[in-house]
Amino acid sequence: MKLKKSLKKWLGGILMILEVKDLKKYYDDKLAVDKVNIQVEKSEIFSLLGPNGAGKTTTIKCILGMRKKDSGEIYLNGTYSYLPEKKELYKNLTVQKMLEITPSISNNFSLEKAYNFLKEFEIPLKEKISKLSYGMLTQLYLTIVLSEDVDIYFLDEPTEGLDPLKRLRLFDIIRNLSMNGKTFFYTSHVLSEVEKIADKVAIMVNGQIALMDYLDNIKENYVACAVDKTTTLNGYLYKQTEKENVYIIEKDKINCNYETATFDMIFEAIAKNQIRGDKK
Amino acid sequence: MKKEILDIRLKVIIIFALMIGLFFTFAPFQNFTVSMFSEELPSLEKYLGDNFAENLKDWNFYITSQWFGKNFGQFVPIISIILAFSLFSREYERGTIEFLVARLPRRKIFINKLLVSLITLIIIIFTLSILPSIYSIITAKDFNHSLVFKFMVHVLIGGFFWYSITLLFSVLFNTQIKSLFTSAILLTITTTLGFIKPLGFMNTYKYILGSELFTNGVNWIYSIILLLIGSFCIYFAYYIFEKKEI
Repeated sequence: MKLKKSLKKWLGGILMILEVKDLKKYYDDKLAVDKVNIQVEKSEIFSLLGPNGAGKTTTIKCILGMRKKDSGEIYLNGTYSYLPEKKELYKNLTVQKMLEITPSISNNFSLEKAYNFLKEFEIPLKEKISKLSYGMLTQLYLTIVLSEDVDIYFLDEPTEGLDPLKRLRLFDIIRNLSMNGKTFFYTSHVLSEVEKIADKVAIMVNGQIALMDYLDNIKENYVACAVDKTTTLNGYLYKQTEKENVYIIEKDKINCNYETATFDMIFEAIAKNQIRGDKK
Repeated sequence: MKKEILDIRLKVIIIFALMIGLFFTFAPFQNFTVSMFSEELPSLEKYLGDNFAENLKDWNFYITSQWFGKNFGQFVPIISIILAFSLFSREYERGTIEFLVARLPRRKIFINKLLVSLITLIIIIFTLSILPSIYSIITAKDFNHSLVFKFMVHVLIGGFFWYSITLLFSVLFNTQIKSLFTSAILLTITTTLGFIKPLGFMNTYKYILGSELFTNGVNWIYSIILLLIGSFCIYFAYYIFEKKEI
């Protein structure tokens, strides 16, 4: 039994690329990240999902050491690259110059890969960065990030400004890299995106992780249950009609009739309840 | 480091162009300057001291007083401030600091920026300091070249002092304008306060322009104090940058 436990722990250690334990971060008196726990395994696509201001960016910045954590532990076992929420590159440079200076800043960067991505994204090499649209700037930043050979990619809202086709292409690239052993830590507030790409999801609201599990498990385990207004269920209140309340609740915790809940419904219910502060 | 060189390139070209241009506004015109001062001498004597026009006839005095003691000397703190004010504050202001911090250890970012800008400052000050020597050799003027090295000590250390202070402000402030203005205001305040006799030591211009170099030689104590303060500012800037939230 003891051996089994240690073996499990050892295997977990090998597979785990990122572990965050009880992370807390204050901005003055405001608690921005509250006891966040996250585990990401190698080659996983992990998505941190939450409304604006939930604490997603602060969590990433604490993991990467850009912000100082107030308490908690962070284990990051590998090299990383980061696409920030605000995509800012050196505006006075041309696209080509930007790529040419990157090897002096990043050891893991492949100029050849970057040129291939640029060709695919159709970004003109001679164009000044200041003249690129926001979508093109995002693509250029993604080009740099994805041309870095690292263990884990942190992508903070990576599809902002991208057209639908470019989004789909980005998802393809992420999937391919993930199949080749690369890990992704992806933040977004767009549910449909996350549903398309993520293996594991954490829903973050008001600085707290309200739910974390594999996407398939979440969709399988949570259902919608309508009860009359006098009944309260131990779940997340999704909506109220004139006669009944609809709850999103774990399947094995109920004994009433239920319907399948979409991921949108689950997210909305959790987010609403978390924001109101009346946890399940 | 390649990026830092690209960043600073334009500033260096402009500084060299302006300063070399400035040098040629007076270096070839010794006779004209002497005659001008001779004509105006009675009204200027109480400000400039006795024998000023006579001294100007001496090439050593003319070129060093006009270059180090006036034109170039006045610009040394300004050149230092220009080279340092945007080093970090521009990265914060434009949000590009995240690109760097995610890819390089902060220590390396700091050292890269420090080395490139400080070496650039030293090259600029050194080159501009030896301009009188080069000009004197080309025009076959009799010049005491050892004077250049004495003045060079003062301008190099004075330049380093203002560079270090501005570097600290550049790390502290998140906008370029704050970093630039704070340095410029500090330069103005210390210079103005230095006109009050007991606070004369605060006027770094007196040291940089080498006002007392002809009579007292290099002021080593003041030099060491400026070097120590400058070094402390750089260390403090590094400490803050290591801890700064991005």
